[in-house]
Amino acid sequence: MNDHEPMNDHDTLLGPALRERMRSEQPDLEHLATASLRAGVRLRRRRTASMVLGSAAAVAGIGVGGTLLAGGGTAPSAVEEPGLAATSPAAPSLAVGQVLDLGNGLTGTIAADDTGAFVMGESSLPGAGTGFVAVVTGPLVPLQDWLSGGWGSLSTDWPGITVAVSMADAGALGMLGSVDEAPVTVGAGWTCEWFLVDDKASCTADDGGGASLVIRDAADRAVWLGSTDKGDTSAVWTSENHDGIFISVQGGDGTTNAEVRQLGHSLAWVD
Amino acid sequence: MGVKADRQTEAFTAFVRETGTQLHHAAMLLTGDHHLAEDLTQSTYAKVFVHWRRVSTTDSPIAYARTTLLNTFLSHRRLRRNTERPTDDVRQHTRTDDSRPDVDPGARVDLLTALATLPPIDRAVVVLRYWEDRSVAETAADLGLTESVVRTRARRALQRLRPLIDVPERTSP
Repeated sequence: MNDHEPMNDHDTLLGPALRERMRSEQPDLEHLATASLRAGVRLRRRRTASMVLGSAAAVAGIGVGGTLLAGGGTAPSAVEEPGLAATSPAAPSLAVGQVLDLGNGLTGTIAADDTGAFVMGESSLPGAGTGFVAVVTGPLVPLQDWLSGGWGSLSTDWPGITVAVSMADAGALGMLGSVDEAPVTVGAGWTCEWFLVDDKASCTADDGGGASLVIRDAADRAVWLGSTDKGDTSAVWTSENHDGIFISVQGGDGTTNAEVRQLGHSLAWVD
Repeated sequence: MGVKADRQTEAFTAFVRETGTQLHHAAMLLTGDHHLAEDLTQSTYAKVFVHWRRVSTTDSPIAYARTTLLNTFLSHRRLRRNTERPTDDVRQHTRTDDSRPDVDPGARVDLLTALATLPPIDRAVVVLRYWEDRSVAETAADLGLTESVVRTRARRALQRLRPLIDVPERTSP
């Protein structure tokens, strides 16, 4: 047992002990390179697809929403489904735990609520699906296509149904933001509404001025601050890195640069 | 795929081959699990690939990758908050089973297992300070912490880990 507490954090034994422990760990570098490249290509495609998903869903008239907003969030938007008859043929009732085959390797497991799932939207037309949640999963590309294509025939077969995906699938689809709750509080005089799936907040001052907060990856901070069209301007306030992220504050209509700085300085991290 | 994209792919693949062992080792120290380390390393390189055109022109792409690894590890911690339960007593989770006759009660506790009992940020501090040999100031900048917090967390980690590696040599009388 050591008689003395270390006066600082300097140590000469732990490093060599860690290296000794890792000596036998040899990853398969070829597999790592191949898998990383494949994942990187998918990630690039996913980021594009998530934007297409949102715009295509809007065009189709189906609400796309999330429940990961601060303060309880907003209910997923329910929209009319044009062209659908007010009455539809009677369908067998759904049961919790039932698994629907949606084709292309996709399945929808019926749940009584959306606890633990990421809600994509719901059909407002009352019917046999009302009160049920279909948690859809399957291979990523067919899942993307199914979601952006209007959910196949699910809402027709089960009007009133809510569609959700697992949190893991939501992450793979690029639906989750960098954090799962508002990372900061704001000072008096400002009210912010968070859109965590987009890593953004829209803020309004008591006098009507506007500003936006954006959550950014800590690894990008140096580049952000070095760019005159991004962080290197008096119109933008940038926080320090904290827990893997930083926040930028940009003013909107009716907000001066001084007010942007004041808003930035009022931010308090929520740990 | 164009010629330029092919060259980028080749350069990225070469970068993974050159730095993969180093990054994988850091991931192992952070996660304490081979499969989790593979996932973390692969996720890190995937993110690096997305920004490869910019990253490849920086002074130290490996530094960017290391930062990405840490941020990915720590950001996943926020989503898995409820499943990680760091404990105060390392020995509670690493004591060998003395009731098993084939287990040497004096066996050295696995350092990875001990590391995994630390809070995620403490693990990140250990990796940066003692594996990457980063200074206190550099570690603080990498993790967005103050230098004081880095020192405190590092000392706390040392208090838990040093007894496990500082096994005294015993000789028969």
